[in-house]
Amino acid sequence: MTNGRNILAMALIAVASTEALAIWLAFLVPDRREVWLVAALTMPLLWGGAEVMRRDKDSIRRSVTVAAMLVALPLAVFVARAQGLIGVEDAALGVRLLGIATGLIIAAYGNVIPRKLVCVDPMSPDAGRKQALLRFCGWLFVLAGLANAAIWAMAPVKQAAFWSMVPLAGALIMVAMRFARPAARRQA
Amino acid sequence: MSNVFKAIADPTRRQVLALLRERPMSAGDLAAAFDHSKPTMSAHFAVLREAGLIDASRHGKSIIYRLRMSVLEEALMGLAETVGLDLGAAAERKGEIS
Repeated sequence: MTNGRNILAMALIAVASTEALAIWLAFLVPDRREVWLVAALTMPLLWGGAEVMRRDKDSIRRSVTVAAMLVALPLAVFVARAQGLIGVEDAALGVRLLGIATGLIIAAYGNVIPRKLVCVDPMSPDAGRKQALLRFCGWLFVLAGLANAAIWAMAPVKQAAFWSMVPLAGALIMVAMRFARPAARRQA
Repeated sequence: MSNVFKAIADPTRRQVLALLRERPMSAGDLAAAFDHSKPTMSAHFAVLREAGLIDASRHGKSIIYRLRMSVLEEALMGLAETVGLDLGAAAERKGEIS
């Protein structure tokens, strides 16, 4: 129960922060007020709809927290720029921060892949193989996510947009090859 | 997280996790792989379950354990194994000295 309350609190804080930034921007940049107000309204509406339709509340709230943080990041950069805290030459800063955050989120999701035991029936004869597959996928996406974030942190933004995809594409290809391997062996 | 550190600090528990990394195993099969008594092994299993590192399910009369470690936890276990972490032995030595 305590864990559920913590997750709800995190989601509320993340969404409230996003709302506050969007409303602040509506005052700071009034000529684009509609954009900021739509951004402010969309997230709580989507969250409310998901809470009504789905039973797995903790999973929804974790996802909402991550989504709110992803939206809040560029909003915070816009606010900083509107307040004169960031110069015009730092226009790519928001893109870079978003890229780093995306890489870290991919790594975080990869981290918990091996814990998704719902697809591993312990009595099944290939439970060990499925478990090894989950671990393989988890490790790949953690490393790919960290590499993605590192590229966004260090490379020039224009090059990072392309090169950051390389570790992710590599991870997807390796996972696909691993999935395809048993089927190929069975057919042989 | 402190439960995870406590769980992986013991070499016996790390060996249990290493065995479960290969495939899910019953409590009896796991206990047979060690020289400890069944109550001792049950205590180790309880610590691992409390830390969320293994998952237990009942099938007939057997309890089947499955590994439930995240990538980070597995990396921490590898680090503990590499440095030869054994807080259980350190606690025993402290008891002999004092």
